[in-house]
Amino acid sequence: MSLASPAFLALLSLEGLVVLLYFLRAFRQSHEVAALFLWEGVRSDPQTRAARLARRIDLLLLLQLLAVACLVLALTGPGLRGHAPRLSGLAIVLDASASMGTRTEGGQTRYALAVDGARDLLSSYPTSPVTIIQFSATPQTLIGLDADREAASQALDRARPGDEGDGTPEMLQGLLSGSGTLDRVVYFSDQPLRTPVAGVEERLVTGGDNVGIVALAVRDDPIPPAVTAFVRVRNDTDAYAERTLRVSDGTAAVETALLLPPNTEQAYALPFNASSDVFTASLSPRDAFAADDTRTVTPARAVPLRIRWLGTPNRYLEAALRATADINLVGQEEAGAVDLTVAYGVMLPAPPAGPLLLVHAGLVGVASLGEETDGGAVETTALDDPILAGVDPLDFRVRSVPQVEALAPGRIILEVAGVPLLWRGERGSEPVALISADLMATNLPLTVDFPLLVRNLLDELVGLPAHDRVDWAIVGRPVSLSGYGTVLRVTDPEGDTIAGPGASLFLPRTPGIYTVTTRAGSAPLAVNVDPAESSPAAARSLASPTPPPEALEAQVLLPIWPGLVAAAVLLLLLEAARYHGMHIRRVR
Amino acid sequence: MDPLIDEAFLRRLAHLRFFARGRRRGHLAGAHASPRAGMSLEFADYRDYSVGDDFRYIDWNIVGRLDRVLVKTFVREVDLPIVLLLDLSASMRLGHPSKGVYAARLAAALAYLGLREYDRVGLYPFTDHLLPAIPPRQGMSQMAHILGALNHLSPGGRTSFDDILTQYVGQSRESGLVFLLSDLLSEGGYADGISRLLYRGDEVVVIQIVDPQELHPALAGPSRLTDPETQRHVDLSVGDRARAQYEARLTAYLDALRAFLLDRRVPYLLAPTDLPLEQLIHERMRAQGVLQ
Repeated sequence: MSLASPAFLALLSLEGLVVLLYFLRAFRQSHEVAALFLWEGVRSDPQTRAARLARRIDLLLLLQLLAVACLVLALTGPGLRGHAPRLSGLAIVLDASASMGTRTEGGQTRYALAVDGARDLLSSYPTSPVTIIQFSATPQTLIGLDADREAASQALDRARPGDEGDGTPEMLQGLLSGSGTLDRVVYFSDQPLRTPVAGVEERLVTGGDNVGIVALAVRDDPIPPAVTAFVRVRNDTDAYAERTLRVSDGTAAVETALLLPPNTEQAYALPFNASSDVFTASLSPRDAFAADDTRTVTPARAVPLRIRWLGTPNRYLEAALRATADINLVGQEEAGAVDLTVAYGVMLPAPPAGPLLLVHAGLVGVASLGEETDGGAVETTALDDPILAGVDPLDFRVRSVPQVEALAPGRIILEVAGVPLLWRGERGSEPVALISADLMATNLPLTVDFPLLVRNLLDELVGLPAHDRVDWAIVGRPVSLSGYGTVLRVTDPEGDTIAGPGASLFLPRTPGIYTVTTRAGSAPLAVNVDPAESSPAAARSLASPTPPPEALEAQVLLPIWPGLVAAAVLLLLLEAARYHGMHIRRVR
Repeated sequence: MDPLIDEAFLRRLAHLRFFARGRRRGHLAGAHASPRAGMSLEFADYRDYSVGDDFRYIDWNIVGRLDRVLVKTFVREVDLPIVLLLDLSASMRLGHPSKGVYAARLAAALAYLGLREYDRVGLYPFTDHLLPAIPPRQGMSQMAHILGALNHLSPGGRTSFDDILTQYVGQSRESGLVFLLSDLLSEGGYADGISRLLYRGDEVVVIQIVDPQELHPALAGPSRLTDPETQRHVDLSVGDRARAQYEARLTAYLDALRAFLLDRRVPYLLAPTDLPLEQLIHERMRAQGVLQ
């Protein structure tokens, strides 16, 4: 045994103080008596001196002395020398996906069991450098190999599972390759990795049955406002499960009782009349994994584009715009922000806010049109420009085109007789495009490529509602905002802004209803926990456990002070109990 | 019900009543015989007829035999003023339960007995002076006053019986049945005070309340013994011999007290606090003739 701080042994002198206090207390006991006058004159009993001496070896004193000795020894930091295995690097990977929050039959979550396992592993290698990784769709290194044991212990105290889905084996491989030299990697999870990763020892942490909603969709019926909710519910237990399924849009609701056979997935279609765009499906009663007992969905309805038309009307362009997207055309006099301004055959006196499409129109500082000149064949000067994607300009004919007298820096895409026909640039941070010719002096509206050209222009200037808009998004996976037009901000379920103007994607961290605000208004977006988390059953059987690698032996000092403190507390409790017992006897 | 006494205990007191040996001079109707003639069924004496006497009380047999006109007189029944003198000096807080609590319970029981028999009962707590008292009154509302006072009393200070009894005699206007509830362990004398009470015509009952530890102390070893009233102390090494000396002195003190009271026909009861109150009242007080 060795002592870390032998200087504290000096405190053993406190034993003397305990003995002194004991004799001071034992020397004279104080009593109140009613008839002192009867005691006055009574002679002291000489025999009691011997009795007092006998009392000096007292069990209470012995217990006090032992307790003080234990405490002083504990302060000196005693330890027993021993040997422990030492690795050059140990990685503990904790699956922090949503399913790890499932409560097991013992009352602890799977994650808490994983943390317990991690602590055991830490204590097996008391001197090895360790890194702890919290692994999910958004993995995070809690501490690196250079951190000390105290930091590792604190990191485990703080670690909590998130709402994300599982990380991929490739992500894990990437993380481990950047973590330094690792002799041993232990992965605690409730389901094995999709494909094994070389050198990773997998430990399954299971427990807790789950019945959950794994899919939810809402489709409009032919006669609105009727809708049908499609729900898939999975019973991941070995017994029949009775649940009540309820689908609601906040006003109307429909309920049905379910009897789910063991380890099966059932689909249900529930028609009802809806009055909102946010639908919630929930199962009751809830179970050990509550995250999938409720799911939300926001059907991806088209977001209308608000376009302000200035100048001469043109039904060809208007028809092409309407064919491209859901358009809400407003006049000059109507107030409010718009996604795009189209100016046709007009010289704008002042620049409008937002993206701008000039057709045979001008704007001071951007483009100024002059006299009409004869047209001719259309020449392509920027074939790679996205505005020409799928468009063949060779079919275009132009009878006349105005001279472009001044043009801001930008990119000329098409020219006619040396005059820019199609041009794109920027005005401040806002995009602007110009078709210099009057459409009625060209054959553009008659070509099959015209709607394509208009769609490309709209997509480049505003960003068209994309085809990839989803009814719901998944926690931990980036959500593209390309389908929402001009995004002003995104707020999470708590109302906090998590993405600002111009954001093209955001990363949801919690499930719930997010709000995407655009120039045309607000659209809800449901975010749910990854449905794959609802069924964390083993996808493949684990290979036979890999034996831990051979580790070097290192000398360690195994602390014994906790035992000494416990012994001191026990002795003091015994002393108190005995003293109390003696006191009661004396009173009786 | 007040925690000092419980209902079951009071029910068991129902058939008891105080016994006054002499005829009392009370002024309210009650259950005790008065030295003055009055209206009751109990015959007292004859006296010569005088003008104004009620003809119904003339004994016509006597008139026929002796040719003298005599009228019959009857015993007048009056109430018995009962006074509880309660010692609240600091020494009364000693013991488990304390002597003060035991005395308060006993006082409550005695008050109930008296009030139930339509007697007037008063409470006079004292230390070295008389504390605010509850003068004797009839009726069960007086019980509430007495219990309320007993609940709020706490022992403290010192006492001197001669002085306090002299003060009491000077302050109260009528004699009655006086219960002195105290440990009577005081260096100051008690003889003068008790004599004054007897001289005035009070019937005195002395109940000495002691802690069993005072009768047979279990002290051992070096001890500092302190008087809670005077704060004087004695340092002593207590063993068998010292305890024997103390017990001998205590016995002598108690014997002297008992002899003094016996000479004056004053009932005396020694009540250790481990003696059940019921036993004290039902057995010892009846044996002493205080209750019947």
